[in-house]
Amino acid sequence: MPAITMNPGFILILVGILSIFMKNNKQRFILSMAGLATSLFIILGLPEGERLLTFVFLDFEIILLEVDVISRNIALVFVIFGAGAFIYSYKFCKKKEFPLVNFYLGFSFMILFVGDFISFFVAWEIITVSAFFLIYDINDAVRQHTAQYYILMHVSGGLMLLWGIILHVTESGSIILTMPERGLIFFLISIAVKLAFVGVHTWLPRTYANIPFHISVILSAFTSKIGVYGLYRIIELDNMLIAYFGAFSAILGVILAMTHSDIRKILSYHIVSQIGYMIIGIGIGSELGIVGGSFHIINHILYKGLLFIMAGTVIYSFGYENLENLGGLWKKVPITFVTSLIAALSIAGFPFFNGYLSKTMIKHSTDNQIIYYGMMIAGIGTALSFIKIMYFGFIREGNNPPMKKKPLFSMRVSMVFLAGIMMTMALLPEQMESLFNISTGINYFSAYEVWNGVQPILIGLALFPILQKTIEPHPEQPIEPDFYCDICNSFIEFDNKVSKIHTGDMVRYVSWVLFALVLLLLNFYVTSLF
Amino acid sequence: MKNISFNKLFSFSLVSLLGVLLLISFYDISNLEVTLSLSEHYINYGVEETGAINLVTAILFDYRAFDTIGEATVIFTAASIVALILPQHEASMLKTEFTPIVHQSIAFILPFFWVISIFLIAYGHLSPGGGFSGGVIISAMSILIIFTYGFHYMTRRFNVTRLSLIEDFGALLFLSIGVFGLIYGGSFLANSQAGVYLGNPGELLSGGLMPLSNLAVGAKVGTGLSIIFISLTRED
Amino acid sequence: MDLLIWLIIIPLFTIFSIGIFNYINKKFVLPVVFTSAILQSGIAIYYIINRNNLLPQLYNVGNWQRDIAINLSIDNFTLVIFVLIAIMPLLSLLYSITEIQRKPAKFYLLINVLLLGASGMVMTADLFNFYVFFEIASISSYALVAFRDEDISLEAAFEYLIIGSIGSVFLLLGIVLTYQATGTLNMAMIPGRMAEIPVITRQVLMSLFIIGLGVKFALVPLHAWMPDAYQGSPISYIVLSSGLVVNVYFFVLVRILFIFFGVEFFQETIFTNLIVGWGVLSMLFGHGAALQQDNLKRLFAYSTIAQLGYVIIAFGLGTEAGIVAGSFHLISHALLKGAIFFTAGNLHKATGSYQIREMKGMAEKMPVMSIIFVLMLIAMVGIPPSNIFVSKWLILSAAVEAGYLLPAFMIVFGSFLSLGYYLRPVITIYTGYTGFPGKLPLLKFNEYFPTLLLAGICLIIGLFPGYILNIIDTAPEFLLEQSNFIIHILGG
Repeated sequence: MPAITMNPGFILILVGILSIFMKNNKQRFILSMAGLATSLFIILGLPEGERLLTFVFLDFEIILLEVDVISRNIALVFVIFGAGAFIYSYKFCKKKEFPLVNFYLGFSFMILFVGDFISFFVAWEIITVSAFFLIYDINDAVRQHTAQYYILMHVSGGLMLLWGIILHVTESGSIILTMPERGLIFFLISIAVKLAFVGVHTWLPRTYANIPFHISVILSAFTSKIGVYGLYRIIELDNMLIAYFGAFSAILGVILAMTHSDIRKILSYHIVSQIGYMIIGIGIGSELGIVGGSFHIINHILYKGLLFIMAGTVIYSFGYENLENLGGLWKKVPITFVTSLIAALSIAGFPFFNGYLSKTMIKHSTDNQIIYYGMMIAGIGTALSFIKIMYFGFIREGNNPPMKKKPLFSMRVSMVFLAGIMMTMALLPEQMESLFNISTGINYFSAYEVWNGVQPILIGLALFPILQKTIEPHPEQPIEPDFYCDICNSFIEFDNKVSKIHTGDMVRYVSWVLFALVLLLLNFYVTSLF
Repeated sequence: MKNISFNKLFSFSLVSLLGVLLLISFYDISNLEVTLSLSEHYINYGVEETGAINLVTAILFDYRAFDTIGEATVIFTAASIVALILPQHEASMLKTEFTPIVHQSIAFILPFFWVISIFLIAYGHLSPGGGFSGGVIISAMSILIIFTYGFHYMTRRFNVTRLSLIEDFGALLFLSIGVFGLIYGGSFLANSQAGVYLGNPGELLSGGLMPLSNLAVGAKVGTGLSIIFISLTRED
Repeated sequence: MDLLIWLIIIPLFTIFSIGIFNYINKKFVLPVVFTSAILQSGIAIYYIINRNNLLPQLYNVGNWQRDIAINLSIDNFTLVIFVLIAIMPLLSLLYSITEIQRKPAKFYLLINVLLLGASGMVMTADLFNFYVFFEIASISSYALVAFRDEDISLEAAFEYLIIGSIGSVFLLLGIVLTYQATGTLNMAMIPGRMAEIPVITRQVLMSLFIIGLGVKFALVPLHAWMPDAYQGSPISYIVLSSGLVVNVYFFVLVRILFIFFGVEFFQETIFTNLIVGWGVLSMLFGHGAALQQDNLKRLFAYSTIAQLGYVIIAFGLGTEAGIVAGSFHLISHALLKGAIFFTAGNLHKATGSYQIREMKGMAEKMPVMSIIFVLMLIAMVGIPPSNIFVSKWLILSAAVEAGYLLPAFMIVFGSFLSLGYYLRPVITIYTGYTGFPGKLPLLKFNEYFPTLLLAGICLIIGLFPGYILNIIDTAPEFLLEQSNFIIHILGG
């Protein structure tokens, strides 16, 4: 196969530009799918480990194409999920969303393959900006607020990245994407914001629960995974501390998820938690750990995307997303029920479903007991909260809301498509391992491993009747003020006081001038005395 | 009340502190031993190099003619700004009626004003005076006319439009002298260095293009200041 | 060829003759003004293109010998401003055709006076001559602020006049004392003699220059005139002011400080720390105050103050990288801010107000302008691939290299603050349509063309910064090495 050496992101960016000029959604859809197919073709033919497409920018060598196994595999799953998401949503996407989603995807692809800090930063920031426009809506104050929160959070993260890059570049004199020599903490902060680490995760549930469901499908699948990929690319160290943080994030995310009852909020907090697993894998730093972590990214994109698609379908068909208002859906939307059950079992790590493989890999990559039990607890929590979604949403005979619209054919197609891919992946562990050029020697389907995988779910099932009262659904606010809002407000108040010094009083202004001069002169005269 | 007195006290102490600091630095600088090479050059070689006895004019129109064209532009701009910003309505000030004696004597004096201003301009390079001083006297004439005969008399004779045309031509004359220097002598505003006939110092036709420059600046400054005064006397 | 003197002659001719043309026939005014503007841009471009053969170039006005004459000079540092002279005035004049309906001839006259002052200040190598051009530019600025003849403009102009005159007084004092202390006005002869006078006297002179010129480029706390002045004046003037004139004042201050006193002097007297700290103060204050503004023009005035803070930091480092970075930011900020002001003016056509809250729902009235506006605001924060990103990158790396970590971090923080206040107009413009009274105004060619052109230039510079960097990368030679400048002016 002739290989086109090209960063596949550019195709999608080009498609994004072209789709501005298309007439209707069908054309835009076909164009986007064609773009994805082209990128798939390109990705399959990309040579590994070489630095290509280089040019000089500000005395630095920009590397626009550098492929390794992990980035290629993540890109492959990006293509698959991107296709699924397009199929899912093309019928009701707005006009502006096609180009923006394509830009968003394009720069997400681009960031996977760049080999230097400048283009990494560029893609990093443009992902933020295009996501901002996707979140933003003219007529919706909540979304405006959310978008503002999102961009402030992410740009502050991005500026931290810039600062870290500057520190690194001035120290090392090169911009090749490697482990930073200086300012590691700033890289970590920046990545933490992007991957919604506990503490700076606040943008994530706030965003994904408030935007239209098809956009949350797209954003949830990519944004934080870019952060994990960044963690893998930049922070190349086997630091158990990071792994501990990951375990902490996994547990806390799950606990937060259980206390909410808005489906998309639960899913959002689960992203925080699942990202914890990926951090554990990458933090452990052994080859198995890294592969497990990135394999978990791939799995997570698929099942979390599918779950968001499920949430979207529920919203589309019933108009509610709080579990309180739902119940007994399994009869009305059977395909949705089955596929989301697959996704839920996957995320819980049930054997023969795809989350299981990567979780097992991560478990095998370390023999640290804290991590092991941390993952166990998180697994129990995950199981609990998905039992919650499945029980309250689909099985329980609760409010039984009437179905407003039948899910579109395209929606069902995308669900079945993604579920099929997931099941294929789950049942072919050797092929998956060979995709990552690794041979672990783990026998995934041995009784011991299966028992290990089933354990948390059984515990979860056992605990559910006990905890049912505490985690029962309850109404929720779309936006809850938090710590960062308080900081912003108090800063603005302070700033308001400071800027009140402009009174329009001329004497005051003139005395500022004189004061500056006197201060300057005094400074010189006083220092000259010593 | 307390607040106000504090502000005043602050301003006072600020200004006095500034004064003290500046005085100290003035004192420091005045104690320096400096050779003022630039002014020494002007004094030693001025007459010889420029052909003008009046060194002030030599500096204004030859050594630093470039500054002069800038200063002329400042006055020009000031005149047009004043004409632009001040209200365009009827004059109501200067309603004082003078007796015929005043009218007659001013009419008697005005020609002398003309003569002295022409003299100052024409002999600018020989004796104290020059385009700027002559121009100021011209503008003093217009002030006198407005005071005695009234605003309307003046604007009937010389309204602002006509005056600014004269000003424009004066300024253009100065500019074209500069361009002449550029073409003839290779450098903008070149006069003595361009090889223009300098004449004998002390004669009326000496100093190269200086008399002409004086004339241009005189016309410009005289009309410019007149415009400023006329505009200032207009009121709502 | 010595074209540089024509940068003085052409505006002078325009200034003096515009009244005559206006008297003969009003139709002549525009062609004359535009011919002159195009010629001026052309000369600047000519020097930029032929920089390798022509520069540095010296011009002795009046053909006097070099130590007596008033010298005009162009060296590689001057090109920083020449880039702006080549672009800004023409676009600003183009925009003013529809904006200025009342007394256009006077407006063009004053703009030309402003340009004359700017070109003169940049090129002159004589201290007193510099003051003359300084006053020329100042006077026309005061008038241009008052040009709209509304209460707020007149008040702002008066304020500017008072504060500006105080600045001029100190500047003149500085010049006079310099002459008193060195005995010469030639900027190339001053450094040698300056080195002989006591340190404290030099520092006093330096303070006077900083305060005198700092007023003009709105160094905090000398900035008070700027928001009011911008609020009251026409867009065409604001673009020229923030895009050219303010930068010229800063440019001259840099030249005076570096040439007269020398970098070594700053480093000995920890003056670099002071200037960098001052830049940080200027930047943070500008951003902080902008956060509270409701008027777009005021908001961008404060943002200009803040952006000049970045430039001050960069130049204050006193390193080669710092000077290149500062020059680059000077240029890219000027271009982008010009585009932003033009867009704000275009949006104003629909609402008739510069209050942010009255721009609600603009996006549905003027979709293209709105999206450009938003993209430019985001670019202003330094999000790639904008030119501001490149300049911030350069400034940050220069600052970190020079060891100024905290100021550099403050730049990052300042960018974050700026995003905070740029979001407000964005969100207001992109909020549900409320309906405007009246019809949608059609934008004329001369209104959207300058906007799009400047935005395009900014994008190109952001993607290919080499075009600008090639022009300015030799600039530090004439600042850091006093001897280069002295030899250039006085000969070997």
